Amino acid sequence: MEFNHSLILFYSSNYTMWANNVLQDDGIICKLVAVPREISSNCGHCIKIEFALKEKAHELLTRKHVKIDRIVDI
Amino acid sequence: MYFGFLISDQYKVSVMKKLESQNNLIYFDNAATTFPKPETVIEAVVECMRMYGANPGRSGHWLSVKASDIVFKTRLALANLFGVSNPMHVVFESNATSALNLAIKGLLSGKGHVMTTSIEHNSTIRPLHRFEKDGVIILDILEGDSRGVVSVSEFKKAKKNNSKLVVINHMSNVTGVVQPIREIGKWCRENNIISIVDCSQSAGVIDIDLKKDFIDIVAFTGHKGLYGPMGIGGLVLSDSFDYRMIKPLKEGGTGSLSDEINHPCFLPDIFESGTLNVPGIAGLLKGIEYVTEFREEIETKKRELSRYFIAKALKKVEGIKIYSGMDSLGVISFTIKGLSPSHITNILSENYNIMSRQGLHCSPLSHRKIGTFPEGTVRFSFGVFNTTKEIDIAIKCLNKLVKEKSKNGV
Repeated sequence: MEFNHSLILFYSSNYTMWANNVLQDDGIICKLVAVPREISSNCGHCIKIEFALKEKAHELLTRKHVKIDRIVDI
Repeated sequence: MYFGFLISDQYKVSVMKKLESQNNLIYFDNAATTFPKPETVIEAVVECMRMYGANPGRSGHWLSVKASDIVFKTRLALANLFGVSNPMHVVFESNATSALNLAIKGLLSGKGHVMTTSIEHNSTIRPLHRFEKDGVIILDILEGDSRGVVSVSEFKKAKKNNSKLVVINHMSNVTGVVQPIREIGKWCRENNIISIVDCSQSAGVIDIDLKKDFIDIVAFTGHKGLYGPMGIGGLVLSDSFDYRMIKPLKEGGTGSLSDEINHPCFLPDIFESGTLNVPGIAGLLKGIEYVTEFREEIETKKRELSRYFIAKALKKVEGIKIYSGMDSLGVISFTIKGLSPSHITNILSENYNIMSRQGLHCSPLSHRKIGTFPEGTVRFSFGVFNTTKEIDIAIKCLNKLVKEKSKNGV
């Protein structure tokens, strides 16, 4: 299966905003989108990123101690 | 001596200029809350309410994202201000009192020994006293020197095997005296005792760095030295502090883990149930930016205004007794022989439009310490928008009061 994007989910929107800040500071283009209910019960938003940037973003967020809930490829 | 400040000219709000021109209002009650606020703070609150007053972290639409972004940026600014690298270690509450209640009540679930000082505000001493009365803790209130400054040797003497917590008011809201938090924090760290610092009066005036000062927790309020609006404050936890030691006092909606009836156990959600005060947070961000930009000028100006008032009042006002030192950063307590503090502040307000505060300032311990209990003192507390000219006017008014007293035998 071929994926175009990944959704990076966090435990709360506080972490989403932190991650957004970290990614943008590093020049990684991402978008904040509403959390799909079928994926998570969080009421806020998550980060949508190009599939090709997933690993880079994951590595950067881990290095910056931004806790990720999970990453879902779409 | 200070004659006009860039910060005054640049940031003084129009409403204050209007008040001044109409009524010659002088506001010397900045330790209660700073007034006026910088124009940027007011604009940020209004902009939030007008343009993006959505609920942060509760919805996916862009207005909610914008609100969440402001909340995060303020968290980050507070983390930077207090020397913490993890912005999730900033927890919003409504003020320093609610923040101190969370830290103290959340930590003291079991029996133990707690040490505090004789210059504490009721926001600290009342929750501690409640635990003492209920037999949960043994409380030692360390006297310190004549001004209430506590040394590490006093802590060493008071320490018990089950000492678990030290709570310190960084700067007295009565006299302006400052505690040596770095030395105390270092000793606490070496002895595995948790340290909480109430920085209600000092934040925005004195540098506080949780890492360098070895402090575990600070409680701050947004509406005093940080020049934000009322209704916003919180806790900042050091990067190394295990937040799980604090039991949340409230549980409820956080926008996270919404399918679960178990409350989240991660920061900051664990302590932040319910909708945040986003307009207050937006204003606070601008307040932090303001005090960060003018950090040194603020400290210098507050020190100079205090020195100017003390020197001049001692020379010109008969019967004045000042309880604050020349090193005070804007908080001056005084009494005038034969005049009650409430009489002085009433006349200053009614006849001269000078706003100051009388009485015990929610700190009976401090007044017992300096010998002014139960009547209290008059407190002048200066902010960045005050001037030496205003002090000159106030001193003239105090003089008039003294002369009227002699004439009328008040």
